[in-house]
Amino acid sequence: MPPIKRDRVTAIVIFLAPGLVLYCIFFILPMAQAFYVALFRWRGVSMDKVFVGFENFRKLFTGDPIFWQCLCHNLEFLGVSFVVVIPLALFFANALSSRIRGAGIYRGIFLFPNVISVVAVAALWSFVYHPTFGILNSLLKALGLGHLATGWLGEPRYALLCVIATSIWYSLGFYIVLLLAGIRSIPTSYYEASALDGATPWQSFRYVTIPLVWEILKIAVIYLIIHTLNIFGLVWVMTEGGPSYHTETLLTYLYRQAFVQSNFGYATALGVVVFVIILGVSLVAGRLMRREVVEY
Amino acid sequence: MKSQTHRRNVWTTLISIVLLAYAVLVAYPMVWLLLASLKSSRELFENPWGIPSHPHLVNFLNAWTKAGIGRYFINSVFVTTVSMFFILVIGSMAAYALARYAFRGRGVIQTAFTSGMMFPVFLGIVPLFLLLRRLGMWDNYLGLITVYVAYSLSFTVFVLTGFFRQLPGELAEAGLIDGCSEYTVFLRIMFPLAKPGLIAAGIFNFFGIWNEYPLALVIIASENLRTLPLGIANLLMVQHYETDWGALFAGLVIVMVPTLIVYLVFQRQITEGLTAGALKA
Repeated sequence: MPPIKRDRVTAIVIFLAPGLVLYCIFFILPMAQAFYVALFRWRGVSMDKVFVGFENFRKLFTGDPIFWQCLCHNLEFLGVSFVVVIPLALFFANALSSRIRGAGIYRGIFLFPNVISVVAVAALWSFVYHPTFGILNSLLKALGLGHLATGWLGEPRYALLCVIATSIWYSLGFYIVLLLAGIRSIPTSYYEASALDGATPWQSFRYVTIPLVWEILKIAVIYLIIHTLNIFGLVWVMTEGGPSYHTETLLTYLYRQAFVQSNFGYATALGVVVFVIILGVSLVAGRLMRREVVEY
Repeated sequence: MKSQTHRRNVWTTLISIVLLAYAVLVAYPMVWLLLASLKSSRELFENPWGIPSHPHLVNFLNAWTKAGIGRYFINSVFVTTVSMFFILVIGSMAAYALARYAFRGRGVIQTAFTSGMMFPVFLGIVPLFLLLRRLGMWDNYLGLITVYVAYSLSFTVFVLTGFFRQLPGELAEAGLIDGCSEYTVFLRIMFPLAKPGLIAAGIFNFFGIWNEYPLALVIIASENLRTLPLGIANLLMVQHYETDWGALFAGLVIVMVPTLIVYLVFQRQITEGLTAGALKA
């Protein structure tokens, strides 16, 4: 019997080793090192690094107005997305769960933007907002609202909202499909019972659907938090954070600090802060949405 | 009773209209893009809305050759294919070991893989960049593909462990008794049986890597190594100063076609996998 056992141990090692080695060196190690690199003033690719303790964090919080500006932009991103995405996703998921014609086709169309590259989405919407031949300005002119036509992404007042709208267009389908799966898993007998009791469609939505998809709604909100606080590609390709920092977000700022200005230590400290913010906001959201789970 | 049915009908009609309106909002920019890719730059300005007077197919030729989309396309195909091959092979080996054998440290390893999904790409980006430079893996495909594999393992191992766990262990035992080695059992019996899981993991890794932007942006600097997202992003920035819009639109159509095909072919798996993955994680 012993030789079989040894064979088995060897097999386990051989099966696991490639994945584990790659994962440890190229994933876990950099993530762990981040917490250490953040404590250095480290400029350029040279070995010019000085241990400064929490200096980077202090500078970030007290000496860097752009950091706060970025944080506000990300929170605006989160706030606007939340107010628009969650009600719309609930509405569409609810609509698609009923026996409406073409539900499958609608679902397919709504989800499609989610599988396109963010770069392509960003490029596409740069043309929607394009000042001279963009769809949006042409549409406004066609509706006789030509005086509202503007440069959109070049306008400090509108640029961030334009990027947020694009992000919603890109991601809404995901939330619809997520909630749709939740609504579909509710037994139809619940709706039959509520209809027998004389519930209006709104009442059965409010008192049957909402409580029963609450856990999935919670997951959707956490995804929304992660997505909006991690936004990078869309902003970078559409505006590069401009005009003059009006759309700069935490991660475009991190990228700029690290790979444009070579402030490696500072950028990494920012990365750690973003990570902690995401964890913190997610925990708070999870706590706020805590509710007795309805078993069915 | 009659008024209630009436009200319900009005409500259903209203919902249908809203659904249709949003479907148009989602699809229209892409249709516009397709039409615009067939127009000359002049026609684009004179006739931004309508059907192109005659399809200006030369845009696609210009995109493919002059704008470099052809090269980026081939680069992306190469990087995606090689990365996916290693992700699926390495990932399924690890997942199989975790699903089938009970050994000390299994829980820890499993948690290490699963919790990886929690960490944002950007947290470790600077240390990763410095590590790749030190190893001579910066600005080449060895580095990019290795990083893609390492970053995808967490999700892939998680999904595949679930699939391998559902397979009956008796099958493997029977194979062993028949004199197969552990490796033959994996390769000949268990690996083929996990096909649905491999397809699911494959689809999501395809989208993830074909569309990937931030890691490629940090790891690749040479023009001739650019993947499609890098190439498109760069073209867009350059086009702010030039005027061949048609080629850029054609380039965008070229990026989206493979995703559209995979999406249409695997739509059911994508919708199911997306929700299952999101709910479990």
